[in-house]
Amino acid sequence: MTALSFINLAVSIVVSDPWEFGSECGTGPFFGTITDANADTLILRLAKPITYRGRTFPTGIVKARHVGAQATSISVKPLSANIILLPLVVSVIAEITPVTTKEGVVVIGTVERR
Amino acid sequence: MAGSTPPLQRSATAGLWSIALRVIVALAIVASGWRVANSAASVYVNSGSGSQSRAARGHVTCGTNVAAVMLPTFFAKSEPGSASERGQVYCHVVEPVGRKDMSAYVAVPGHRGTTATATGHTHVGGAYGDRLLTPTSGDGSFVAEEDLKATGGTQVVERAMSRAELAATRETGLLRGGREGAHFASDAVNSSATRAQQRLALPVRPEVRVRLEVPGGAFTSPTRVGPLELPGGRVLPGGGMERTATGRIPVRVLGVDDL
Repeated sequence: MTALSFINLAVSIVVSDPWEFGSECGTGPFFGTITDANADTLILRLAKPITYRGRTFPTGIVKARHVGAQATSISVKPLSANIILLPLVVSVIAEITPVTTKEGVVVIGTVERR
Repeated sequence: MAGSTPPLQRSATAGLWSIALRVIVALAIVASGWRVANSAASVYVNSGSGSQSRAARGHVTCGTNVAAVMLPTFFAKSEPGSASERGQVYCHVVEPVGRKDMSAYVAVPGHRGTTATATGHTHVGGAYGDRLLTPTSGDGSFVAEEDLKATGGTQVVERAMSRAELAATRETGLLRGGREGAHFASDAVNSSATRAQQRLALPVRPEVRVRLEVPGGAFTSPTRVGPLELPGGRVLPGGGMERTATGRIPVRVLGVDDL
């Protein structure tokens, strides 16, 4: 699959860590759609924004958690991922900067194609 | 002088003997494992038991046809060391190590595939984490690849977690309290909370390191954790090894260390 073909792909997220995230929000699955992708990064628009610690997160930035894995491998198998949940809407990878991610929250989990 | 060896020939003969002697000594050293014992080769062996705190010292033996030497300095290490040798070795923690020295290191010769059992001590069930150790590719470090099937079908892993998760784990007898999602665990979690967070690229600082006995084969082979860029640009370097499992994993808590 090309990066372009990932756009609008429906995915689900199950959150493993922090454990306390599951206490407040449950572990999921949380559903979303990919809005941009390259080999290293997926941008997700969550179908239903996640509310955690009083803030609402509509966007997820997904990166492979393990060395050698690629974010785009979700086309063939679930991906162990580091996910930054953002409290603002970001649609393209070019918008990701330390400033846009500053208010984000990191979780670890699995991202899977639906 | 009649019958004596000319000086030049005598010198050459002595040189050859010297070389031969060095070769013989080198081979003998390799065969005994001594060279490896004094090299960078070291292997992490999981240990883990509630009785560990009773012993101040421990040692590791390996199969009868494996020449391994335990050096005191290896006890001081807390992470798998690099190794120049390749191969597999079945090692067995005969005695528990001190509570602060949960990680036992052994020198490993380049020996392949032995399944010899340690004599006189059989901790079937993974109380001390019998392991088949194999080298990782690339950097030469060693990790416990999997339990030997014959040793009871359990393995010991460690997980950095919060006290709340520990309480749920104890209450349910299940990894992560039985919650859905992938379970991540390591063979060896660093004893420093900061270091554990960095090496395992954890989003929050862990509070405890918990040794868990889990069914053998529940986890994947270890995978190296990549760097994690935190919000705002700070990067946790990763580099630690972790295994992954899914489903409801029954566990037995073997030990807890505050981080």
